[in-house]
Amino acid sequence: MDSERAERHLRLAAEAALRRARTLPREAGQVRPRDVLSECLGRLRGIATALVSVGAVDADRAEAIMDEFQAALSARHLHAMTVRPLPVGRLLPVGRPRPAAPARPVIRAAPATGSPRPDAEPAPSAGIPRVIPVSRMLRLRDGDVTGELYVMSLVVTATHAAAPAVARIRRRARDTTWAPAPTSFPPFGQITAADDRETRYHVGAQGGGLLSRWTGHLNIQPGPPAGARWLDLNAGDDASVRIDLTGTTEVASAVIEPLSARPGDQLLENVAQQILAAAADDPHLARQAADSTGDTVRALEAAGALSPLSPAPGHLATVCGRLGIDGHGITARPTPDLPEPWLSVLACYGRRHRHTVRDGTATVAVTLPELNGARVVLAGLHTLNGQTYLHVLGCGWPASWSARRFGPGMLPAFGWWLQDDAGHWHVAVQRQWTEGPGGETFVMLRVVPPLGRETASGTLFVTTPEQRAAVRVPLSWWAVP
Amino acid sequence: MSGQPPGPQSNGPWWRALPALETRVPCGPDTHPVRWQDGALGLPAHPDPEGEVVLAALGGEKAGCIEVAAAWHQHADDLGVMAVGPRDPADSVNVSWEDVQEFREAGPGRFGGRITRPHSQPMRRPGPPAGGTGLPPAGGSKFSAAAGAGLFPAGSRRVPRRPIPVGQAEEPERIRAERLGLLALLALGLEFQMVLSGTVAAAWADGGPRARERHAHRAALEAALTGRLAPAAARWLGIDPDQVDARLHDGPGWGGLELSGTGAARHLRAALPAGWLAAVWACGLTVAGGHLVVAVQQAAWPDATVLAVPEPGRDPVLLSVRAGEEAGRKAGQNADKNAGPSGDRAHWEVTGVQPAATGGPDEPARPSPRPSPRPSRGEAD
Repeated sequence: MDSERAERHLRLAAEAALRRARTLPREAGQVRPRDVLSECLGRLRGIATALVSVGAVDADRAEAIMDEFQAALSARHLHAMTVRPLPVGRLLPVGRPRPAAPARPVIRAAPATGSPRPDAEPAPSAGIPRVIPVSRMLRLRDGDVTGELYVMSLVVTATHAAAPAVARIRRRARDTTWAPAPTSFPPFGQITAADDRETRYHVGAQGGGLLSRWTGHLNIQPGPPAGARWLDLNAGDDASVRIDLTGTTEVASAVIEPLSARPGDQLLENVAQQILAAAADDPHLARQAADSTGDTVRALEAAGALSPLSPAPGHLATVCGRLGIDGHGITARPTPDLPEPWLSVLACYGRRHRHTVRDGTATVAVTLPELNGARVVLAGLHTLNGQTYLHVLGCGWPASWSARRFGPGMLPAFGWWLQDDAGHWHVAVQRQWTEGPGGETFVMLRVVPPLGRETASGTLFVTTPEQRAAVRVPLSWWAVP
Repeated sequence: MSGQPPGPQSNGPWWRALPALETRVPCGPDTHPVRWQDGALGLPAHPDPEGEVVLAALGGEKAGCIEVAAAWHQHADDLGVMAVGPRDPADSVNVSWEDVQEFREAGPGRFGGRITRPHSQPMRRPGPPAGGTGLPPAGGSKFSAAAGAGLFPAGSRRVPRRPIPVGQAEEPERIRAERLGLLALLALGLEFQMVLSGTVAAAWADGGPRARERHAHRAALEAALTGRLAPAAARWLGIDPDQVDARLHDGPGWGGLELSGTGAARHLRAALPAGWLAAVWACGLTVAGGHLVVAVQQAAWPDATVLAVPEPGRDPVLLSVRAGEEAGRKAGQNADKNAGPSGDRAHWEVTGVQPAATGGPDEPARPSPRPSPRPSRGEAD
């Protein structure tokens, strides 16, 4: 990659965007702000994000260029002037030592039945988060409100603990039209936590929901100490869940292989994942995800992050074509030889009658080996109303990977694919996230197509800019929230 | 085409092809003149600006003129000026003093976002006051244009902007203060904006105080070059501005131009020195008589001898140009605070043409007084 060429491309894109801004159509002498945002700021931000994401341009420099561009617009009364630039995300921090990638695939961590013999990983240290399967339901009762909280697992880090959960909430009286007021939703105020040493913990909730459903995690602070034997979650009236803390941390076996592709290829795969997942909800969202992808391709090529011979732009063009998306700006010809996971997900959209799945909550408690210095913990999975979410906790993710710099439409730090036990592929993309007190990142990945109770296991493929890990994920379905 | 000799791009300071400029800025309850001449900014109404700076540092109120001069000094080598400022004379960077005040009072917030008419005071050529203008006579202080000295004379040591280490965000208050200063400079009007841009470009050109750091800021300089050459090339060749790509030319000669493709796919690659932005672009000399001006050989406003290319692939010729009567009239009557949509701010008329081979920096060319092969228009061509 060539950082000077990348910065030059970004600055020239800013010049072109300013020329576009100056020629935008006007109504009553004024340019429509949405035109400036979409045609100028949005496109330039997309280019900046792509270049920062692959490490071709430093994030601070990209933000400075965006800031200057906004100032240029405002000096022409095309945009409000601010002193805070739009943030742009990045995948890897500049200056971070590049981990030595293994030359061949390796299998790490403890052996599992039926899995290849692994190379032994050093014993887990205290810094590795511990995930404990819970799979218990806690009855809730708070005034006129009642419900069930389905606790999937407990993740214990050095600073706190978190319990991914799904809740169903309703009024005691038979009033089907009632919906909880926002101030009382969710009714978790009465939940307390205490351990075997009678230490009490603060319990909060982070998540969201609509009407009678809530999804998120309980925040338990501080984290239970190393010697604690169990933790009780109490919701009053003898409703409690006891969680055994005496188990040890086990890192799952995973096949890890280095990525030979340039970072631009990985980025475009992430873009494809966003498009494929968005298409499940709304074609308009998929179109937004594909918007200005051509700009991204050209920027990556200019920066040397994508080979001119890369098949990825053609693959993206094919996906867009199959989904009826135009205006993406990709000039590469569509190619029929899509990667198998892409074809599998696309085939789902082609079916006249999509396969319906049964809702449920599955126990998942898997700690992946270290990837690029980061930890990924799978802490639960649930399917509700035909939508599947995988609950993930990330530790040791660089700050730039954090939610502060990423939104649902931004380019994620990881690429996720899941192949179920029937051989079908599912794409997973980041949809909701929060940051923990210790810098952990809680992410909910939307899995498309959804997984139902008939799926007993799958293999999750996690891709970072430098490595790809494959880990087997057993699914133990235990409740229908 | 690769430009080799003839010679360096210019003899003498870059601003020799520019007239003196003057405008008025809010200063306390009044407005005061601010003058630019011979490469320096002057404050005729403030005989002792250094003393006022000291008093302000001791808690006194800093005069508006002093703030403008300090901002000019601070941004004189700021490449951010090139990112924000005008790309061509038709580029309406309309910042008013009301906008500046709004930004000053708005806290860490916003400014602009609406279309307004420019409110900056018109520019005028210094000299005897025109009847009824109410402007004070020129030469009111030792910093007047007559002496060619400014509050921070050309060549004086500037206080460098604090370098920002990569990875460390600039603090909002400092960004805000710098932005306020830049807004005040933009409020001086188009002519001052272009002169400020020329000052910045000259700082990074050969012989400038930042020339040695040019390699580390190549991307910003090439974007500034491309962004300003593109509209000029569009006027010159009718080419799509997005198909213009300019790179910095280092070394002898004026650079090079290469046109490829046909029709809408025509693409112009150019290599020009950073000094082109100052000596040519900032002086409104980019296109004259249907030629792209690539260097200024000699100049003493309103006359200049320029090296100009009739079309890509052709050898350059020497053009004698003279600022048109209209330009002089506009400047003299304070009527040209903003260029019209055609970009005819500077109205250069070609008065002579001759092959460049016979001319050189050490042997000033004497173009024959024959008419230009194209209509004698400047920027508007």
